[in-house]
Amino acid sequence: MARRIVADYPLVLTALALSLLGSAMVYSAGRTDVPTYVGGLYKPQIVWLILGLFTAYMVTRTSVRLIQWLTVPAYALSVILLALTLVIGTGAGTAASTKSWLAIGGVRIGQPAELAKVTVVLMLAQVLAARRDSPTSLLDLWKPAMVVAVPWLMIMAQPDLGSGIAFIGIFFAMLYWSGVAWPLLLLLASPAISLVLSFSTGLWGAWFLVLLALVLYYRPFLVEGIVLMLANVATGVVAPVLWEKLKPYQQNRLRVFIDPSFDPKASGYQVIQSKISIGSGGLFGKGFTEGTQKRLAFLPAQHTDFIFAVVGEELGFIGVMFTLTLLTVLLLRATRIAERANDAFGGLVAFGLMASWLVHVVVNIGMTLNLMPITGIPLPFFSYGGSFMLATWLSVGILLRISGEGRGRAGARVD
Amino acid sequence: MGVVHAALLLFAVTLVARAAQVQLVEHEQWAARAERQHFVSASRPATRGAILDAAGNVLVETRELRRIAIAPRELRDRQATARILTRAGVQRAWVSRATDTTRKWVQIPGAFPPEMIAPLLPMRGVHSTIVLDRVYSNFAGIRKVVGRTDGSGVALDGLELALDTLLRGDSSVSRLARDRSGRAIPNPAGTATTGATVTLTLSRDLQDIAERALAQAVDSLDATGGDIVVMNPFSGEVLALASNRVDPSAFANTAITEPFEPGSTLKPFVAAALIERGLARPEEVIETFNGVMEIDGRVIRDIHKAPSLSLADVIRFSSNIGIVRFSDRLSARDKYELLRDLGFGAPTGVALPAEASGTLREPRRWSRTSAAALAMGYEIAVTPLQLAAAYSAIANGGELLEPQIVREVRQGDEVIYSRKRRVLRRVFAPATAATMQRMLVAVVDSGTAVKSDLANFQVGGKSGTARRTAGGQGYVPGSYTASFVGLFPGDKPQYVVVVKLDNPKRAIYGGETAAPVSRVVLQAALAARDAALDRSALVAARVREPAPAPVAKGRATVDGAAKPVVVARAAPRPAAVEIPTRRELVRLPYVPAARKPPEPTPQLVPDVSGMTLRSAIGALHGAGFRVRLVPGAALQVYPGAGSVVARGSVVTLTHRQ
Repeated sequence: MARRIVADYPLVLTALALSLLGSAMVYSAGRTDVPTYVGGLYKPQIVWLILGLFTAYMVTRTSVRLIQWLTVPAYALSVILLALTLVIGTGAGTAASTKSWLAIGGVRIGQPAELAKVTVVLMLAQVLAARRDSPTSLLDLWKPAMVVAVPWLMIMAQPDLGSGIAFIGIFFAMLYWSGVAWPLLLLLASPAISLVLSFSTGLWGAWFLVLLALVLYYRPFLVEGIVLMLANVATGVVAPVLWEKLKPYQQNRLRVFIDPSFDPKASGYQVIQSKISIGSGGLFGKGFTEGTQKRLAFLPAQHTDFIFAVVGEELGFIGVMFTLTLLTVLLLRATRIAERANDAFGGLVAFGLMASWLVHVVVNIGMTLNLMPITGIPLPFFSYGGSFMLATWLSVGILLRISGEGRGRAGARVD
Repeated sequence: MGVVHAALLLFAVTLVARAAQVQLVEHEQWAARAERQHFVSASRPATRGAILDAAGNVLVETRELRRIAIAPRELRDRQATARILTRAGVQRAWVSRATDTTRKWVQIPGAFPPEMIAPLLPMRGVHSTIVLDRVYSNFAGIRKVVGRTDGSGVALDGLELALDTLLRGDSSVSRLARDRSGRAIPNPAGTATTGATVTLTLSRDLQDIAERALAQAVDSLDATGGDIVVMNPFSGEVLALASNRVDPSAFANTAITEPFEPGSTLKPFVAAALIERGLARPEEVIETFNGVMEIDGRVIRDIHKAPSLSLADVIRFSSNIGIVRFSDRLSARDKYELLRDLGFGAPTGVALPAEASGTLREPRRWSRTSAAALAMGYEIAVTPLQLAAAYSAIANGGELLEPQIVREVRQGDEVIYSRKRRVLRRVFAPATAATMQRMLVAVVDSGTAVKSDLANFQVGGKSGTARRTAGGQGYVPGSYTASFVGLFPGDKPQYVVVVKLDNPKRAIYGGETAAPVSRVVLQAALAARDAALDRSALVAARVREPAPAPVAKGRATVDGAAKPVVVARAAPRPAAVEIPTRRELVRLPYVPAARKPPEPTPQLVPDVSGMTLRSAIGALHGAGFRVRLVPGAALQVYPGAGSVVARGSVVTLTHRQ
């Protein structure tokens, strides 16, 4: 294993550029006309960034084998921490009523969900890489499903919808990378699709025809097919019941996604203010720290979930393009690392981490642009948050190590 | 593999497309929404500029006050709020109402200086609105010059109107940034421009002196009104501009809006023109026919009857016959041009509204008697300010200056206008002016205006008594305008004082009525701390006088020339002879130590309603005011509770006896 490690400079430099830009935006987010606590947050953010860089460096000094060996204990630790959080967790900031923070003696230590995002990727890679061939039936998927389901349920119980979405994204992406055929993935997702489409009888009916065609084409086991159809019927039927079970603010969030002006004073407020910020930024923006939406405190959570709106307002379309370009380069580079990984485990881990970032980026930016419903999900490298910054750079470190050990060419995929 | 790249590309393109839609296509719409919620076009008027007197005393200023409303339920710290309100002088009943959580909204009466309630303003539950309060100086006299604005800040008259464009500032840019909770954010780019600060040449103290002297004279002589103008003859600065009319509806600076026939005060100019053109010498004697002469069928009389008089004595005793006879040596054109060159018949251009130009007719419109009438100061109308400017030409060595009332205009720290001495033209040669000054000193020393003389300073001057017309129906019997123009001190004047009284009833002559007013003004000015006097020059003048200086020699000449006339006089006014020409008593004027007047500290007048007289006085004294008690209907303070007045000024307390 004593191979000379060549650092993956494109990845490091892109990640560094994103972190510096992100820290600058956290600084800018604190420049409001009526100063708030956000004003000083750029300092801890920089401290966390330095800690993250150190962590990443330490990880590059280990080996993929060591990471693989640590996967099970790390995963177990995450699950324990998540369980602990459910018992003694506290809320913070805009999500004061949730239990996402692990606190000891009133001091908040961190958000275990952020650690879990990395360990679940590792564990899932472990389980999927252990198989000799790709899963071909839904029953084959029970083990990877369990890996995700245990932490996912605990996170949804906090509740932290944003992280929950990230887990689902990671799950499907890694199944795809491990070679699961897309019709099978679609069948797996079908009950959820039924849940959404059941609100319109016409759409639901059409979906059932598609599903039937899919079942006939893929030819799963008979029992499996029947169970699948029943599950779709069941979710469709319980959907209205579930809707009633949702809290009014949750219902409003979903309604507002369709039409922000539905509730412009409360749930729609955030989307509208975010769009005003980004839209009023125009081509060149209002200048660094000069965004009026942010300065006058119209933009909510300007240093966390809506930090991208600050980018849009102050740096304009140019800044948005620059940020999206950097993020795309990062994701393409991570994908390339996955392709060229030395073994199935490395490839799956790299792809899982890439998928995790992708979900964060798409959901977060999509949310600020009113393309996605509002979920509390941060933007990697930008949003203020210690655990998140640490987890992000831990991921960079792992990717760097996999890249270093990887082969010079693609083809390590498990097929 | 391609699927992953395709998916990434799809996401990227979607986000970029959406960003482009929001930021580029819909930019205008979102920018407009941002503008709409960030800025309120608050109709916040610009703070109007202040007007100061020459010494920097504030005559009028605009103060930004705050009206407070409190939402008791939103308050975090009710005790602190109550404490600050109490300290700001809010009545206890209102304080308890403002912290009563059963109320939703309490509007506190009155307005407060922001510094007094500063800790309150950022508090939750405290809502404030800005009100601009125009605070006028307590010196009532100067208010006529300063003028007024109405409640909404629109200038009505006086300097407020004349200088409105400077004072009002620019309120066109009045964008106010507003944050999410509606609080206004100081917005450097969008604040209104404060109006300019105007410093006048007027002295508040001298103006006050003039107003009081005038009011007293009008009252004691039962006159219908009067005007006083005090001008610095060397700089052209108007130092005081007092106007008084018994008619209460006259709120105007009549010293510049109301011309009058000056009568004898015009004679010195005719004499000066004769001397200037070499047509007469001061000691040249002319026959005056014992005080009665008929010219063109009109009888002219002298009060001071003499067979003949020198030109100097014609002025000294104000001989009508003498000046008419001497003035024959001037052509009609000469006379007209003389008076025109002195600035009569044209407005002076002083920065006050509604200035009158007076009347000076061209020779072609004269009647046969016009030439004689003009020499005596009739058939011409001048304003007191024009007269002061014309006499300044004699006082300063022959130059007619533009009378100016604005010394400086400042916009913030930048001086945008600074007064410059402006010579309109040279009217007399310096020698002529010097001769005239000596003649005028003789008038006060031993002529018709001895009542304007001061014990320890030489004063020059000329009195005038003119018949008055009414309603275009010719001269009214028994109706006169008494006037006096004084030069103080006589040899190097610092003041030209014009005193004019309308219709005095108890005495009619300018020397009897207007001249004493001039003396009162000068005495008070000498006693006042700040009256635009150069005291070191005064002391020098006083010390120099006994020495055989050219000035003293000149006087001797005039006196010598006058001597035979005094002897020959049939019915001289006894006072004129008995006044010694030189006084031994030398008193140095009080020269105050150079000290800056204390900065006026603004102070809120406390509310005294409901208090006993004793505690009301206590409260006012406690706030740093001096109290003047006036019996009245109820306990009331003026200026009213909540107004802002300089600490140390006098407030009037009316009380029931």
